[in-house]
Amino acid sequence: MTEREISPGAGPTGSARPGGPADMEPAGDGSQAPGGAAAQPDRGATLLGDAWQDLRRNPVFLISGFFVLLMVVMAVFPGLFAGWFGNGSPRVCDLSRSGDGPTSGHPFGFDKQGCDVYANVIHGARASISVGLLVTVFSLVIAVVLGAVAGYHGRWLDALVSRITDVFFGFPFILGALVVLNSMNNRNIWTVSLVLALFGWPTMTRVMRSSVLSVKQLDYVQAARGLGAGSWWLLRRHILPNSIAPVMVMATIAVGTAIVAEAVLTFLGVGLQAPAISWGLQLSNAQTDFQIAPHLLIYPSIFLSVTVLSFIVLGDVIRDAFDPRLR
Amino acid sequence: MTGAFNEVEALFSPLVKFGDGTEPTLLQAESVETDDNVVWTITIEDGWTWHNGEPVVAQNYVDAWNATAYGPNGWENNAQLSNVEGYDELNPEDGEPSTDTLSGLEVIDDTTFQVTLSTPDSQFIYKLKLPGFYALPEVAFEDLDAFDEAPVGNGPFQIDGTWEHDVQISMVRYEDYQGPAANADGLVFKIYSDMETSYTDAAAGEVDIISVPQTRFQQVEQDFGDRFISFQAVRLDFLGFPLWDERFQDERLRQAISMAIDRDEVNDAIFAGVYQPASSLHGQNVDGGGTEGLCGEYCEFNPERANELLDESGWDEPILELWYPGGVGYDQTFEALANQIRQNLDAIDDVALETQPGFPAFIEDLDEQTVTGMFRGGWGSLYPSMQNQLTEVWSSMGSGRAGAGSYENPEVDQLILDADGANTPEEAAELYQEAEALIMEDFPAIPLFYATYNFAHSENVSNVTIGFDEIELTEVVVNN
Repeated sequence: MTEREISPGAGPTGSARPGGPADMEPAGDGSQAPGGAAAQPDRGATLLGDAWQDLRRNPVFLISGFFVLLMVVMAVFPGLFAGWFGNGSPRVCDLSRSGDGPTSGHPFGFDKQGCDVYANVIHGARASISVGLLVTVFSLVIAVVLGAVAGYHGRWLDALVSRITDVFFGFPFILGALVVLNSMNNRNIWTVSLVLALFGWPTMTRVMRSSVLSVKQLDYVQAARGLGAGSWWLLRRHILPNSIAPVMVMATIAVGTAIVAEAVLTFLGVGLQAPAISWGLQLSNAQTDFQIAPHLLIYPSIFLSVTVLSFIVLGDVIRDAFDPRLR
Repeated sequence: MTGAFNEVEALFSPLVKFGDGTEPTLLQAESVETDDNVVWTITIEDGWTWHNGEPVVAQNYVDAWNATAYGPNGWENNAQLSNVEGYDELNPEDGEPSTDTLSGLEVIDDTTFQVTLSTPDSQFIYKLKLPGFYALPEVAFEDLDAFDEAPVGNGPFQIDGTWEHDVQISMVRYEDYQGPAANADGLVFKIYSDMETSYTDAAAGEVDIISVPQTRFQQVEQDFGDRFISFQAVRLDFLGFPLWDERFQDERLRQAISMAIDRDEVNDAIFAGVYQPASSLHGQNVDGGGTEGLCGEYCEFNPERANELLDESGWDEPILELWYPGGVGYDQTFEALANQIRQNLDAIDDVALETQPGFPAFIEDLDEQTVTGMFRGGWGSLYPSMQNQLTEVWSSMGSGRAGAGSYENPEVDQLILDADGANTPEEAAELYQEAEALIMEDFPAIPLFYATYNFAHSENVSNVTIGFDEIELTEVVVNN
């Protein structure tokens, strides 16, 4: 309580704080730009620094990054965009305008229920992005834990984890999710994400494991061990930070894949269910009326493809930037 | 095709048929007579033969009815014979029946038999169209499994080979058929797992006659033009309520919801105007005339009055539930209804759509009364008499009453029984209408639409008539 009362009083310092790093950043940039690679080795996280240097000058990164950012903002605050044409609510529907094309105030026209397509498409971003991110986070957590443990500990634990991974590799991603989701009654963003993660973690786990395996052999790890470092400390301090980059890059691409998977499953009728607002659902509803109202299929597809493309391209350029062999 | 009616009708000929009229006309029967609606004498036409050449005799009818009514056989149409005398003895509540024949059936001679009913039924002649009242040849009882695969019938077509499961059933014209002969030399029933596929195939001319899936109503005119046929059947779509649940006791709540739905708009947007907004339980196409308008103002769209009624009803929850079977293509329909109710009733913030995985699960929930909100209801009458829907859905003896929230009113029951015992068709119709009026007063459910049978055909065939027996197969002409 007292702290909260104080904080408004401490306003000046509070506002000055953010100013600090902001002021420093240009300085940092200034020193890096002329210094180039020479300045880098001093800063520790060399790989990261190098990659960032590459990326910030790469137009592909900037464009895809911009779209990803835009979609994420759209997912978090759909209201910011939905109201642009005066009809921001996806739930205000007028059946008498069912299937009508664009008119003033409704740039994308109306769906079968007479709801504004533009508002629905904007609000649909949340389901897709949420599923994409949740699936990736779930898979990533499983992959990092299992991969690190298997790679570092080795022996029987490694064998066990590898075999389990193999078992899950056996299921085709979409087919596996289809079967599991089909048996569920109530499906929402969480259940769909969990099921997709269930079939999405093996690839990442393999990458993580092999990455840990190679880092484990490095001299500085051996040296630290020789100096009496404990396993947990070693993992945390040396191995994880140096082996996580490949799997992180992979995760960026996985977001796009997960979004596609969600849309596919929803389109097939086993993903999200109404009244959820999702691009997959909109596409699924639009398919039977395509000949009469093609706009119902076109707009959600555009948003879906741009989002997926952005995530995948972003992941791709990040991977290139992080891959030392491509330098 | 969604059901098995057309296939059965191609292979077998019932005693009576309807075509696209509401009056039963005699097909294999020469006469169906009664003096008291209890004892019926049925004479069949002489000269008919089964596809294997044996003559069709009265004994074939009696044997088939006995077998259908015999409880331990577990035949699908068992309940259709429930009013024939002796049915109860063949279907004891527990244990094996002591006899295997209906005491109400008596063979008089080769072409005549007599039926005695437990209670008078003025509509009995309509029921003779139901599959439970068909005849079966002797060969059927020798090896029933083989008969299932390659039935020997008395209809206009005979099976060519056997039933190819999940693929097709092919038939050829039966040359010795004694009824109106078929125009086509043969026909093949193609079996589809997805109606959308059959629609696409028909549009491409790959298949000749299809039942049009609901999802394609909007474009069927565009795709088929005047080769799209919509027949006003005796079918009602309604919204039922869990009447066992205290919260839904007040009829003003049900009336309020009814008045919040703009049936015309839903019909236009979802069904392309193919259905007809309902204002009673029976549309015009029923024997004795329809009952349109019985529902009065409560089936008219009037949001203002709807809100008043909702306030008066004492309903105090912001969320209504709407239950329906999922995965069978109803989503758009129920989303539209939910949107209407949510937007037109101020006190309702949301209408939650509760889907069950398919029809069986949905029916089970209704049977076990675990449904906690309004739900999808529908009843297609198998014969165009008001008796069917009134008895099966709205009376306490009905087999489909769970689908209407298990509504019960002794006065309604009595009126239906009185109508069943009426002396003239006019008197019966009048009493049925009285029963219906009483039901509408109680307002146990919300009538939504008089639905239609919707078929489309390719350019390869013509003279396609749709009626109460679905496709009039013998009339179809194959163009060359």
